[in-house]
Amino acid sequence: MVLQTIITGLSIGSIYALMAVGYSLVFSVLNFSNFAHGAIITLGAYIAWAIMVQFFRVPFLPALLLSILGAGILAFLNERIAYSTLRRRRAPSLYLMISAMGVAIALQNLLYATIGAKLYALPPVFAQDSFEVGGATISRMDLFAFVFSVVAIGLLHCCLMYTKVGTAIRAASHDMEMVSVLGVNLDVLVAVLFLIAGGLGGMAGVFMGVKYMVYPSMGWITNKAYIGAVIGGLGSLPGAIVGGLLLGLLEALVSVTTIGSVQLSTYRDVFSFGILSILLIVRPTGLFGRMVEEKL
Amino acid sequence: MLLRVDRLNYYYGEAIHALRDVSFEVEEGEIAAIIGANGAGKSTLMWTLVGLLKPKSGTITFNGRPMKPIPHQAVASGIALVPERRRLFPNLTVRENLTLGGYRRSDKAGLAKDEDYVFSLFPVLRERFTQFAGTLSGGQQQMLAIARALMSRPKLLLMDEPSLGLAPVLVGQVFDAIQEIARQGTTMLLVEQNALKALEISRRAYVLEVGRIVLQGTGKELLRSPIVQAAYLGVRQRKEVILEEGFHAH
Amino acid sequence: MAYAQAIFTNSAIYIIAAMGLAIFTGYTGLFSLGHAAFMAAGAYTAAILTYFYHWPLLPALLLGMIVSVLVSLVVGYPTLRVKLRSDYLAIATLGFGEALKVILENLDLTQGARGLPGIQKLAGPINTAVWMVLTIWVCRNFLRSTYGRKIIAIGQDPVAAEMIGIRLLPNQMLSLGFSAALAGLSGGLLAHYVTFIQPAIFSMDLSSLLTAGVVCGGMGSLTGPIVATALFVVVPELFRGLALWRLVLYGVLLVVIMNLRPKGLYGHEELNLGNLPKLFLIIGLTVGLTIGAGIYNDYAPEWGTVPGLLLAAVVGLMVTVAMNYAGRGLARLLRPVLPHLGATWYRGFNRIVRLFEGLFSPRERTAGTAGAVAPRPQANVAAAKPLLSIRGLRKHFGGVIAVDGVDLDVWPGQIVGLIGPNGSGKTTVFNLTSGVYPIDSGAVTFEGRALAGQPPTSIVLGGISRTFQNIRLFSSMTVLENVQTALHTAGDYGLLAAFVQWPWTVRPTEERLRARAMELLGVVELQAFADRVAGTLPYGLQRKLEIARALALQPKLLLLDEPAAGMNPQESLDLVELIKRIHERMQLTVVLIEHHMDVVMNLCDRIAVLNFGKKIAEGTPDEIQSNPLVLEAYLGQKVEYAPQG
Repeated sequence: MVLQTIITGLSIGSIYALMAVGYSLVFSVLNFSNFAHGAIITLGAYIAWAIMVQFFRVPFLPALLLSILGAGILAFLNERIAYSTLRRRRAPSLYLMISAMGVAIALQNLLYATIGAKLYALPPVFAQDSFEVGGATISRMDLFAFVFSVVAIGLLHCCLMYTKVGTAIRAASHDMEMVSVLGVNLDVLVAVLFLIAGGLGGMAGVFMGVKYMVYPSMGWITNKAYIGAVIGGLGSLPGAIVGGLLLGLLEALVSVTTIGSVQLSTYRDVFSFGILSILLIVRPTGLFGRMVEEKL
Repeated sequence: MLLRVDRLNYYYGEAIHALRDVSFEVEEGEIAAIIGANGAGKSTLMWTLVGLLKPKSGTITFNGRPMKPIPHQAVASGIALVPERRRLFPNLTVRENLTLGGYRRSDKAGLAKDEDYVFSLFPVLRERFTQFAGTLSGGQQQMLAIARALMSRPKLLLMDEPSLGLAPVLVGQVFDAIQEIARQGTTMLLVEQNALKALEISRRAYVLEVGRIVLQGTGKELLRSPIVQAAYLGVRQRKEVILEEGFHAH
Repeated sequence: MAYAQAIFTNSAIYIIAAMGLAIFTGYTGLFSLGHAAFMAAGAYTAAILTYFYHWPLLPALLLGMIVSVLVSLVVGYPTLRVKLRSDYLAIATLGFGEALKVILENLDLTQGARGLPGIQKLAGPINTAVWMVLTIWVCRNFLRSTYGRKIIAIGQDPVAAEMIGIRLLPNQMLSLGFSAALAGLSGGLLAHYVTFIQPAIFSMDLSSLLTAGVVCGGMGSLTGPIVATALFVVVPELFRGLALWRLVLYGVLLVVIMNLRPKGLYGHEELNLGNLPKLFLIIGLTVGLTIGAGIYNDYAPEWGTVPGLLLAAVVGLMVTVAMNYAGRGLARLLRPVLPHLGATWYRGFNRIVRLFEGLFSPRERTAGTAGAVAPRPQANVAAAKPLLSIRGLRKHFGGVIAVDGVDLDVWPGQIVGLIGPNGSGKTTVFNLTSGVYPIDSGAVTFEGRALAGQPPTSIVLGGISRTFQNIRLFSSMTVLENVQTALHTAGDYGLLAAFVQWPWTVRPTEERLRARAMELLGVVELQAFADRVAGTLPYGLQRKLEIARALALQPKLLLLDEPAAGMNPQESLDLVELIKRIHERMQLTVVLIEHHMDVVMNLCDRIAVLNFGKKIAEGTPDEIQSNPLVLEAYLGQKVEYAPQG
């Protein structure tokens, strides 16, 4: 029973972690909360639906890769349209947040207005394949999603540590201005940043779509990702991963608990909010976060 | 002239006139210095030269071409900045900091040669190659900051207060390195509060006071000027004398 | 007619909620994505009370407001404790919205997702209008009170607000609670107007409407959000078929406004003769659109699409232009008349107020103290103990040691200069003393009490004021308001009084504060600029304003960080005179960091020199000027060294 809970927790947690990493990546460099991240995730799912179900019959793996690419490009466009002017003007992060929110609202309702509120299902990928491990069931899809996510984050890590662009991104999270003085074209750097963040988001969207359904407001699942990022420590990438996984595990635990006659699973969202509040009181910097003292 | 700046004006917001009609030149191969007290506008000038700030009026001509306020273009044209307080990336290693210095270049052989060159200037960096920049001491950080700028093989090296926060013996080492770099052919423009050392090694020097160039000459000339001495330590003068003599010598 | 009533009532209801959000996001600068949740709390509470327990409307609404406030504090307290980052609050309000929805859907009392149908229609156009006017009036009063000024200051520059003793958390929570109360009121009225509520109504869509209204209307104004919210309610009604696109439009507007015109329609202004034409233009556009749509509907079937469109466009344009000119004409008409009208009204009002004052005189605060402030105990220069005592102060940032064992005594009434090359630790000493950075080791004692561990606001309120290297003013407030805000400890009144502005408690206090603020402006010779917006002042005057603001807190010790920065010799001289003047008049002790040697040498009794975080010399100006160590620190040393091999 415990093992099953852990597996459920890890499978949803890995999706939260993917979303949280994309969000934290942008936060660590540009210092604002990109609330449009959820919309990009949704669009990733819809791209998969469009090419797997609606218009073509593309098999899963290529569809996944195309969705990742498509979401990345959309995120890049999002940045160019909604953020780049503000960034160049060094506008306060409140303005960027509001602009991000605007994008989220616009995109989500654009989907409602054009495609409609109907929930769509992505075709089952590995049939209903699952296998037993030590008394618990793991679905093939969940396992695939988990492994793929691990690989993706691993690739991200390699990119950040071993490529020139990745090093520049790490430097930019500390001092973006200085990076530009060293000759790095910030517009290109930020574009790459959003391509990566969007790609990770698109991936998460597809996995969500397969696991559950595709619908316009699925982007608000990112609330959980934001909470996960806060738990791990805003601005820290390892924190985002740990926070996302941890939140998934805790939610799974809550889902199987019953107090008296009350099934706690319905109150999952209340629980997530409760964790957030308690964490902020006890340890606002999260598990790995850094408190930067403002230069006066 | 490698660098020519003509009547540069910069305002912070509406009200603060930080650079007032600043004009000066730097010839290829020489060391030039701009000295001035804090708040005189030295850093503002450096940031404008490297393209971070957009001047309200005035021109900057480098290597015969006018410069636009785009930082990464400055490096592409051959200007590199060692900023005030170093601004290293403490979360990256010495090696990674140097890699970023040479970001725009793709010639592996040239980069390797330049790496050897900076190690010859600052052997301690080779020792600490894989350590995080944040763990270096003040003097070592200054050396890394200079090395990082050199990795782009600049024609003009701008240095903003290289002696800041360094003990006297380290200041000596840094200025030795500056002279060696100049000997290897890099043109240098220093801004400094530490007037003595800067004026000693520079061929051409200017005094910046509240955003205006108020004095110019060779390094030696300025060293001997009583006005420079007064500008730094002030003498208890009567009101009228301050206003009259003030800092209007040109 | 019923249709128009419905539009009007809906607008009024949303405007009430928008006012709350305007105060929270517009003035206090905090981003909430969940005001719909606060509306839900108020709506459900009020509805349950009238539906199940047959309460009358007014107490139900009031209890709904109280519940909304309590609920907002649950969200606000954990998140607002994290200083200077509004992301946490935004995320928490998002999460809270979801959580509340789940709770509402699963409680028996709220009848779950089905919602509560059949609520009594107790709200109509008239009482909603009354509530709306009341709300606008209370908000206006709040913003003009000491509480409002504190909140606006936090929105402008939280660091500077703390430096004049305004504590962030309680004031931000006050702003949150107030805005949640208004949202709760709005929700309660909504419930009793549409008579059917379910959790789905209080969704992100609703929050988006409110946010768009505040942002597009202008963050920093009340008029703007009123106009914009009304527009966002009215215009979609005209284009019913495009319901979902309305939300897309809100989103697009948020992006466009933030990028192109962040101050929105009204920026920091309220309705005045200057922007009256603008209001008429907006009304004209709306009416023009309505009429145009009507014409299109009527004539297009007969005449065809394009002619119909053309006619509609022409007529619409004509209406718009006509309204614009009407607005301009009205403004021109009123311009000479209004001051007189205002003066007459004011005189009449004053007479009534004095009548009340006469009736209620026992409650009146001592009016005779207008302007005068009780003199503080004389600073005794021959005192036995130093005013400020620093011993072994140490601070490091990462690997860099900024302050390395500094000892300094400052005696009452002295002017002490703190000089040293760039990076020698001077500003860090100030920051440690005023509590901005925590001390690593060592002690700072002020008037015999240890300062370590105290938050910056306590230190400020305990008698140490400071100014900053980079001037931190509240730039959209006027010069006078900047100083008035800092006088928040000099006079106060209760929150209820702030909302209602009782003429007999609030007015004398406000007048006293105003007089005191003018007095302080007089000290720095800025009275003529009292009503200028602070951000438009030239640099030298901004510096003087910052000093006046620091003086408002009646400090015993004034820390000035590079006050002469960026000043020419004439301005520096004026500054020296100013500091001498305030030093005498207000019996201050001053410590100043400066690089302009003429200022330092002419002003200071004693000078301490720092280098590499250590004190290398201390003495009178003459002693310092002839000290070789100091010369070396500044100009550099001629070091004999071996050439590098």
